[in-house]
Amino acid sequence: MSLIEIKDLHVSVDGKEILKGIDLNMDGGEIHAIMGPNGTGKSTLSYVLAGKDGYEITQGSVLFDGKNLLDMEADERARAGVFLAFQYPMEIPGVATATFLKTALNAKRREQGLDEIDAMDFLNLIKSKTKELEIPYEMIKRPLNVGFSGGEKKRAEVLQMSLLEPRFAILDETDSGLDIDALKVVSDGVNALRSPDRAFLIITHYQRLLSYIVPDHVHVLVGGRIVESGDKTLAELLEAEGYARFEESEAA
Amino acid sequence: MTAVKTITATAFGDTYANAVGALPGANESWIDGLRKTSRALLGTQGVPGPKTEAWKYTSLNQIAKTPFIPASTADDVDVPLLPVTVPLLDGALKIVFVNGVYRSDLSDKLEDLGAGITLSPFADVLKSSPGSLKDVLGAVMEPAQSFTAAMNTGFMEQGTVLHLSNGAKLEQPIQILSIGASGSSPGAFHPRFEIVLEEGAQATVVECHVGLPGQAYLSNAATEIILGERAALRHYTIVSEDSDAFHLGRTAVSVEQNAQYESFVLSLGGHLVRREVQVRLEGDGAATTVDGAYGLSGNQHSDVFSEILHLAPDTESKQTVKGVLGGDSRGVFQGRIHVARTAQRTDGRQLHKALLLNRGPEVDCKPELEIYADDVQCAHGATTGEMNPEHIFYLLSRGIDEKTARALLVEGFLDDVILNVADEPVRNLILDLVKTWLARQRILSIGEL
Repeated sequence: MSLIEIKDLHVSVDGKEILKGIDLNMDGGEIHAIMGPNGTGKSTLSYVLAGKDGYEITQGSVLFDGKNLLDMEADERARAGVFLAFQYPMEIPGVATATFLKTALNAKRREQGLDEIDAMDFLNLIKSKTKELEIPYEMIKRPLNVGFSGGEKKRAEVLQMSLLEPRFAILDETDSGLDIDALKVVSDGVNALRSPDRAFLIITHYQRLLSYIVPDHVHVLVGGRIVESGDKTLAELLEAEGYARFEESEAA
Repeated sequence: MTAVKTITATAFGDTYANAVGALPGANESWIDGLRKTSRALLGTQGVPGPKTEAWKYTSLNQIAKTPFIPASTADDVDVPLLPVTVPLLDGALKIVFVNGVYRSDLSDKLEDLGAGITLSPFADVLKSSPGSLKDVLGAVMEPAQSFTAAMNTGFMEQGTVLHLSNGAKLEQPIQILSIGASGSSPGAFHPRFEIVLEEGAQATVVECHVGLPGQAYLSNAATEIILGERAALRHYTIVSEDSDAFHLGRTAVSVEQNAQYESFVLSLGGHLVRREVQVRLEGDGAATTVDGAYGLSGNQHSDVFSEILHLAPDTESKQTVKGVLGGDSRGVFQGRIHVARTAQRTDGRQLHKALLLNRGPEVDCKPELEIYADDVQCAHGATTGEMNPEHIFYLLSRGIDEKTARALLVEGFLDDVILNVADEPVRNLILDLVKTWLARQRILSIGEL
């Protein structure tokens, strides 16, 4: 049994079918990349897996560690080990980043039957994590993502991921809006989290990120379907040739 | 129409008429005159109704129909100790009033505050040195401008006078605690706080209006503030009256050249709360921040009525007021920014944001800009809306359950403006009060008020 088993997943938004039958199995330790042109259902897939409202699942199933993921609420999924790194992380005025991080970490600890984290231990943990990710420690005292630059927001997402230690991490266009230095820091952060019992699904438009986070499998998503799968060389091919040939076959 | 016409004739009955002759300073003709003029206004103008623009959204019917007695005459009230619900500021000098009556037994000693600084009970000053108030009392708190001011001025009895001479700096914050506690009859009290900071003086004053459960009472407070050149006052008002209480409060401030008035009003309790503020930026470079936050549940009614008058060049005003409304509550924000012809290079900003927790509450918001100068920067904005589902999802996606997520977002919505409070201990006190209020509203357990 794979860690994640997506079978014939069909999803509609406002009556319009966006995903038209996705099949994807992922094992622990694997990195899968989903590439595709804009408007093809990449973000829909990430939101559906994370449990966002507003998506109608008309057919198919998703098993996570043998459990029916689609029956769980978004927060239950997160506590069970699903993590979505947002393409556009929300700015939330008035909620201190530290308060948010601590609340999220304690929610997960309670689920695991652990006590809430000690205040000192939490601060030390955050200090070491922010250092690894080259995030100014001051940032965690500020309201969540408010006034953060694009790069800071993405680093903060990786910080959250690193803190919550998910088993299934989805990175939605994490490379968008990043300069090359930030891209490297974020990639290093993700690579440091690679482990045999953790799977990554990396959603991206460009091959660039995949030079830093090297995938085991690459899938091309066009028109709501995975039209081709391969190894990392497929990403390089796409970078060179673009998505035109898939889009033409989709149209035909 | 047989509606109640005047407060003196009906709701405030004979007990009031008999009491006014004995008010402190009554033998001083100008004080007596000020009181009489104010009461005459109440008599001739009556209780303002919806046709009066300033009272369009807030009805005084309930107050007008309640047979209040002067709360100071109620002798069956027992306040053995400060109730635990009173928000105490660590290290502050406390001055306590119960039903408008100064309680030296509950207050700190009003001595040795530093060179050039005096803090005295208002009634003492009216009796022993009324002349010292001649240029102060009524200088900016004009009865003709406001029913709230007229009622307070007509019946003012006790309170405080804080005076700082040139350059004096008050190290210790002053906390005024006004506690309402009705006995067998509903009581009304009209505390008066006078604050005068001469040139370059600095002080922090925290005004708390709280109450004990029981009969409805009316707390009608007025704070009159005069800031000389380069003076700086931090003035924080916390209204956490009992859930059956009425609160009609007004702050009137005059700010001279390069002086600064920083204020924040937190309003959480009370059945009906109206907070008025008028800030007159009289001198070049005068600046003010007039922020606030309120939380309403059940059938509470809150009215924030604000007038910022830019009367001199290079003056600056900033105002952000945020409210969270649940139940069937009603919130009102009326804010006017006036820029006089001479007030060139004015910078005035005003924002009111309301967060509705369900479909029950109603918000009325009326921002007004009146600009007579041509070189100004003025902006105002108002939003009313529900919680952003994208924000909720972001928190859920991190494993935070929905109730906790909503509570965090509501708290964050208010904290966002509370973080503007410059005084750190007061800021922390206000943050704590909001947290406690949210917990008490069971927002953590039911997700909405």
